[in-house]
Amino acid sequence: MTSMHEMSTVLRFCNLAIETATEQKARGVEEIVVEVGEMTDILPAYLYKYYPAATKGTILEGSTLTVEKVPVKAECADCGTVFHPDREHDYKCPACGGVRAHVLAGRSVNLREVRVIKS
Amino acid sequence: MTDVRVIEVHQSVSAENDAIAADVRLKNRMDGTFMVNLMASPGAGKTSVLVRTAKALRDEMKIGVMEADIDATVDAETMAEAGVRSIQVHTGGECAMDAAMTRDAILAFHTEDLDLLFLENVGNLVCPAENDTGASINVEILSIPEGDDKPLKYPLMFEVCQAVLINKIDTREYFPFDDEAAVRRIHDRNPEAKIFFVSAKTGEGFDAWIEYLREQVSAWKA
Repeated sequence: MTSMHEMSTVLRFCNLAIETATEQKARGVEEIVVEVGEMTDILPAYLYKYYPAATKGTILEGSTLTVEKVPVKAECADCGTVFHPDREHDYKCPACGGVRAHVLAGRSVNLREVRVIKS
Repeated sequence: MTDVRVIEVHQSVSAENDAIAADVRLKNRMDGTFMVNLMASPGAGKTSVLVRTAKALRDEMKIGVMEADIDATVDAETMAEAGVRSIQVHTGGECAMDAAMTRDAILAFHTEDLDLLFLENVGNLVCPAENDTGASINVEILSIPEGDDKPLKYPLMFEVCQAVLINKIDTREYFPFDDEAAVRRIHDRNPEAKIFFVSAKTGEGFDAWIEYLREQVSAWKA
């Protein structure tokens, strides 16, 4: 399937990073670090591919993009076990077989940090 | 010497989308417009379900359809015949509607006099599940020929849906489809999901779905 959601994701975190750099009155940006949850279906390779085009002409131009994968972490609503849902266990809690779980991590794309050049 | 500082941001990229989605829901709440984000694979029967649903409810409420599917399955004429106002929304190649596109569409479409508004999302089971559009509820249409294992392959889709229609039950004799397994897999993802077995072709099972929608619309306006 051709999917375009990586491009809009790139634009979203670039906008956030530009806002941050502007607030900081930065002269430039060296690097931005983005966390990509496993549960998002976002492929980091495409983020890297689109980044130069998305940042062209902005304060982010020429900066390095670093993408870190974040594994899914869920907390079982029945027994409180924190686990990594996987297909092998039918995405259920491996301790008690519970199906109600609260996703703690791995569901979003976050801009973690911006390394700004101040002077 | 360059002075480089690390600025901790820790902000989700969906934060902006979620804020716009909340605005869309607030506007719809004030207008008394119940919005259904309808999602499905291409060919699952979104159009036929919409047409039959509209015909069942058009005498008691004002209905509109925002058609965002890339392949433009609903033409305005078909919906007009069913007594429904519709507009085409262009996603500009995006694989799903997001909250900003939805907000622009409802403003352009003047949805404020509608009681029931369908957003026919782009036909795929991955991207549409990731964006909150600001809809009152998410509904997924799964059809019998697609198989009962879809909830295993696309867990997020079934997690975000308040209701699932299992369409094309008139084709049961031709396709192996385990009702119990499908229901169990959907409820594993989302124990609260309402599940309706329907045929948009024959109308079988529609009464329960229509009654559900009627209740939802009146609760939204209360």
